[in-house]
Amino acid sequence: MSEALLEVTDLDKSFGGLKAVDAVSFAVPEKAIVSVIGPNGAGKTTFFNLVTGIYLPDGGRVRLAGRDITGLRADRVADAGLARTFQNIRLFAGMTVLENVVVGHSLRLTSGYFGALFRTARFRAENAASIARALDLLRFVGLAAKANELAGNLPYGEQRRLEVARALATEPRLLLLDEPAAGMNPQETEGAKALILAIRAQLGISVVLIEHDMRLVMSLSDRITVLDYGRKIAEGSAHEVRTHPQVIEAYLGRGVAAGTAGDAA
Amino acid sequence: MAAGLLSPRSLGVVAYAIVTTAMALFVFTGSGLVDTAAFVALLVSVHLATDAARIDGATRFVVLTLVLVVALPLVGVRNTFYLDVATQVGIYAVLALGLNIVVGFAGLLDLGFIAFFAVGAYLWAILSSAHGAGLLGPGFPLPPDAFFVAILVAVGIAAGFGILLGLPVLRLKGDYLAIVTLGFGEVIRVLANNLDKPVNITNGPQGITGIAQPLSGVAATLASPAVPGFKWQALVYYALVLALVGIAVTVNRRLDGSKIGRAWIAIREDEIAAQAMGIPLVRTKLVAFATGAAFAGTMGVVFAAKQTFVSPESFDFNQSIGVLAMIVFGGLGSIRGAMVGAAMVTILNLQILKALSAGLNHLRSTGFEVFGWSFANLPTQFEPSKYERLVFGVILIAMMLHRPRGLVPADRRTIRVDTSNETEREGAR
Repeated sequence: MSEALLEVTDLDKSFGGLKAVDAVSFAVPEKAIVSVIGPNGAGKTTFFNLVTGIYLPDGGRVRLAGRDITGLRADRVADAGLARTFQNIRLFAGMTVLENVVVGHSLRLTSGYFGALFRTARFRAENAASIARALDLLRFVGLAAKANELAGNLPYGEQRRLEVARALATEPRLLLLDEPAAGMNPQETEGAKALILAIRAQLGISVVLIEHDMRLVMSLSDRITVLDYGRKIAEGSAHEVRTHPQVIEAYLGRGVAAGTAGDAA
Repeated sequence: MAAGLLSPRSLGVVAYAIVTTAMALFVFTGSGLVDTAAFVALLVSVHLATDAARIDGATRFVVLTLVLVVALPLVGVRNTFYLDVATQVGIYAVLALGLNIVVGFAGLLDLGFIAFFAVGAYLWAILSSAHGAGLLGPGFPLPPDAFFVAILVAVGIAAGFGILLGLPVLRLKGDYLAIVTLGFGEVIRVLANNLDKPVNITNGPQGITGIAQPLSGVAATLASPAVPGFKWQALVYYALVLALVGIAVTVNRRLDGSKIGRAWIAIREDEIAAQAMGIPLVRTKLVAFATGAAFAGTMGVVFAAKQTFVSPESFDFNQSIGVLAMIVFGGLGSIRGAMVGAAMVTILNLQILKALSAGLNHLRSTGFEVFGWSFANLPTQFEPSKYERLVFGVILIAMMLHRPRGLVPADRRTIRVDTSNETEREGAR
């Protein structure tokens, strides 16, 4: 790991007296799939929100591809090349599937207000290219056939795919997925897994995911980071994390952890 | 299409437009309730002709030209009142289109929109009246045809006011934003009401009179050969407003189908997601405020010139609510809806309720009897123009219950693609 794509050092965030994220450091290499796991309330989503500029960190640094993006506004973070999806799906429900993706790409367009007003050649060329690109992304996630439907009318699993397509449209270097397989049946989870692998293999984009489905996490991740009570308690490969006594304790409680440790010994 | 302009699909609308035009021109030329109905029926043909599902492009153009450029002015020359109503509808349509950007597209509830209208109106009033000359000194009042420059200036100044209002309130959402904009609207009205001392800028509650009218030369030229007694200036305003409506619709549509328009909708749908997709919230909202305000400022100038008189009471809270009601009637975020709403509300106010009043008064004065009960006993309170707001409210309630998305719901399909060749659940394998 020479120069990491995303490098987070000593990130802190408190809400009142509660330390939601406590001195967390974290790195994502190029073309990697990294997972962040932990029990409910461990601070995973808060961590995502800090990295993507939705919350302002109390301390620490976030660097993306060598550039300091700490405390930037969320739209600037997206512009810097960091895209995300949301745990509770946040699509533009009243827009069509295609429009959702086109909106995602709009930050890469250079033609502005007056370009639109006067329908300049550049506006028209960009608009057409943007739509074509969005359609390609919809094909990539398997939603092209529903391009003209309203996003809010899609079934749950497809809404998750659409969120991924919309995030990809921002042309990110790194994609953060917040529980991409939540609420999915095993078959849909397989689809999500294939999609995440394709994002890395075909688009060359690194992926960080928060996920509770351990089978998915263990089968996908190059590295896993475990958070509990806002602190990083373990980091390593799937095997290392699975056997880490503190991780087992965090998930199952002290007694069980002691028992397992005894078995292992 | 091979058969020329008239495809079977367009036939219905064309026939309708021809019949209503003939009715309004030759049969119902008075001002009664039935005549009003004929006039409204004529306007409905404009509504039908702008519906892409009912009519083809070229035919639409012909029908719209026939109705807007030929039929309506002819009806108006016979009865100026109708021309006036059509002009008012146009003015309010542009206002509604402006507010539609702020409330309909960007989802920012603005209860003080009429303030920008006031800014435009007072701008032209001060620049072109004797009162303004006293204030501004030599060189003023401006010549009447500086009106067109004033329109451009009003676009800039009103947009500036939009940004001025937008800057402090952009961190507010929903109800809070609504209250602040309401306050802003009142501030502008109160300023207009009280800025007669120490320096007399607005002439206070008396308002400003003697505002210059543009293109009076054109009106005079038109007047010589034709109908005696007709005020040709009204036709000038009609043409002017028609052109401005055309521009406003074009601007609305182009923005709607562009990056900025989609950013507005995205913010309306989900602010956090919009920002995470790289949309700068503050700038995008400011642009919405400024664009909407510019529409209102422009129409303010036209309004001042047309009335030749402005006073603070033209810009009270009820007016803001009136414009809001138009876009709610029509359908939030819907461009055709904003215009339908503007037409409905304006005609209801100016014509239907007044015609009902006149009808009842007539029955009263002639002592008309129904089942032994004479209309002469009807109390004067029972006069439609006196409970205009009540009728209005009842219609609003009924609308919200039965058509909550408005008469012409917004069609969120600015981009359509052919998906017939796409297969389901392909890719990513």
